[in-house]
Amino acid sequence: MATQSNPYADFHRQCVEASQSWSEQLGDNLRWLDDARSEGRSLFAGLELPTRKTEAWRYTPIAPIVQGDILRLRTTESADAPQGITGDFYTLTFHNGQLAASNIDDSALEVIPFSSADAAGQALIKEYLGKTFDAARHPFAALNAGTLQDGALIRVRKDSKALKPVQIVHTADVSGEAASSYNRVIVVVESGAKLELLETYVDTHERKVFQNTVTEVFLAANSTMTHYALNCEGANQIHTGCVFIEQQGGSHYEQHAFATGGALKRRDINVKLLGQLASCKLNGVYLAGGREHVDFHTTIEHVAPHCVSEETYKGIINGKGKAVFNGRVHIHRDAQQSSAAMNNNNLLLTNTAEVNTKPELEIYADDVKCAHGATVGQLDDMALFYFQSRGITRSDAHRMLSRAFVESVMAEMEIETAHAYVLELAERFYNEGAQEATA
Amino acid sequence: MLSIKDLYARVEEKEILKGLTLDVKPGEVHAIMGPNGSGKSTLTHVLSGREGYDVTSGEINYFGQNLLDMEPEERAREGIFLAFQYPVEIPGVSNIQFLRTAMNSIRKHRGEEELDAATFLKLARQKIGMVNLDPDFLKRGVNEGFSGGEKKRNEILQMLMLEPKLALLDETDSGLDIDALQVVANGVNALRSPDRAVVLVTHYQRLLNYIVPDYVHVLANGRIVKSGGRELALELEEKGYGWLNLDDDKVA
Repeated sequence: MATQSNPYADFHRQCVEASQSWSEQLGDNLRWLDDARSEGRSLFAGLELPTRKTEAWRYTPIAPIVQGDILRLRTTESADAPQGITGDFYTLTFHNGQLAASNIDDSALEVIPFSSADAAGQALIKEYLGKTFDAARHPFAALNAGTLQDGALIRVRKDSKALKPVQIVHTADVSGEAASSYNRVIVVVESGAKLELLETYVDTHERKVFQNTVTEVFLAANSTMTHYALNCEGANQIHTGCVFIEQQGGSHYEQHAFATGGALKRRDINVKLLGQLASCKLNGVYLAGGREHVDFHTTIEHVAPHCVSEETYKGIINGKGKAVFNGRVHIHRDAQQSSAAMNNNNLLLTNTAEVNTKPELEIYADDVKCAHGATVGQLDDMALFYFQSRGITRSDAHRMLSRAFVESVMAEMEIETAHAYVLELAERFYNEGAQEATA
Repeated sequence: MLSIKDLYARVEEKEILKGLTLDVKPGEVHAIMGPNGSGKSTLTHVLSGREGYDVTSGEINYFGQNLLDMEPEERAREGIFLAFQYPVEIPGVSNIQFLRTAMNSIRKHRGEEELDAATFLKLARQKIGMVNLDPDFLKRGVNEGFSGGEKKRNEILQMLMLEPKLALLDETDSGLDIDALQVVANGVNALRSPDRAVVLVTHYQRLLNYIVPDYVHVLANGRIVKSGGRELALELEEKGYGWLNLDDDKVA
């Protein structure tokens, strides 16, 4: 026992203990994951929690997690959980971390919930579980491995496409004590197949919830996936989510990320371009106000030659909000003829808003095309006056200019119901910004 | 309509307008000329309410109201329009969106109904023809990537749409070729009517060949030092400003 109290070390130890005791409470239907969980637990136990001195976490202190009193699972279910996006989707819902409902019925899709997998399903899940990442480098993915509650594997059969997009909703009760949940989603898109997937993390209002998720994506040759990652949690919520994507030759992956603020929201997106002519496109919009904190860390590894990556992230920060963008592009020695473009633009609406943006390029091949750009700016006074001189109030001008700033990225969301859903959340944010600015 | 009395105004501690007096009545066109740095642009900015321009004394009366008490958007809604010397580019906000929001703000203020999208578009297409711009410009971001001349035409388009009572043109003619100059002039002439007035700030006499002013004023050292009819502009072009013996401070 340490005599000197260190909240991080204490929390770390409590996590390990909690994981142990939760594991013992699991139902028989999840016993088959015991080995994987204990492996994850020992990995996590051997890691140090990130501090300000950990480069990848330098601008994102994890104090809200450590001090959040969140080490509590909630297994009861109440009916007051918010829903995801209403639209023409297949929907699969995780409620308080447990798989609650699924209406997927499509010959192109195979869906295997961890909690109801038969022997063949378990074998298939084990084939993919944890294969995309090195847990030693991702402390919260390691935590997820050690505390795994439930999850689902979605497989799209070769050369086929589901009739509708699939939405996975991550929700929780809106009232009660602070609690946490740990889910895993595995997506396997077989060769030539196509998938549209939405992962929607909804606002549980006043309640403090820590959602820890890992999504592992395997794209076989010439497959295509469009992935909406919509982090719509509110100001009290904490989220650490990792998405790991492995792409074989000729596959295409596209992500539309959207994040409103939260007490702490950290998204790690890691793409490995493993086969020639694979391509990926990462789009993101983040909006942080009040005292919210949003952090996007992306890593794109060009392992194979002739691959293309493109990323565009735009953020608006208001009040005392903070945002972090770290975009790493790693071009391996054999990845000749790689093309990588990265852009990050930020708009600060107040003097107290903060953003830390950092491109990181590591290039070991000599015949590549790489471009990156990062900007941080404010609304232009002259532009605001231009609106006013045409009879438009300063607050309307504020709203229109904020909307315009992220419009080009938002407009690329092709699923109209999803686009409308995030636009509405964004409008609320612009209104707050306009009110604050003209108060 | 507009009465400016003994106006003093400063920008960042520097006094620019020093006792300017000017009266503008409905139906009139006033041209304001003068050397660089004499305060011409400052005058248009003070009238339209730009931040950072402090009026230290004097008054501006607009239709019986104290103009200086009004926010810039209120002035616009009450019929004041400034055609900018350097129109601002606003990527992401389309010209049509911008114009429609502006127009409906003004209509709402006047107690008129907002225009629906179709009626508005029809009107916009008609007016854009008057400034010789392709209707595609309506869909583009406000002034985004427009040439200097296109920007000025776009200002005139906005003016024609918003139908101001008092139009202020801040060196709208600078940098224009003859064709564009004529477009600008036609726009202003189309707007001329017994209940509207125009104040145009210009360096050159040539615009006044197309828009014939009722009055020409020479602004120097922050005051109007000479006023006359159209012939004053011709005289200025011929002789420059030297013969006016612009007293006290040096002219930049």
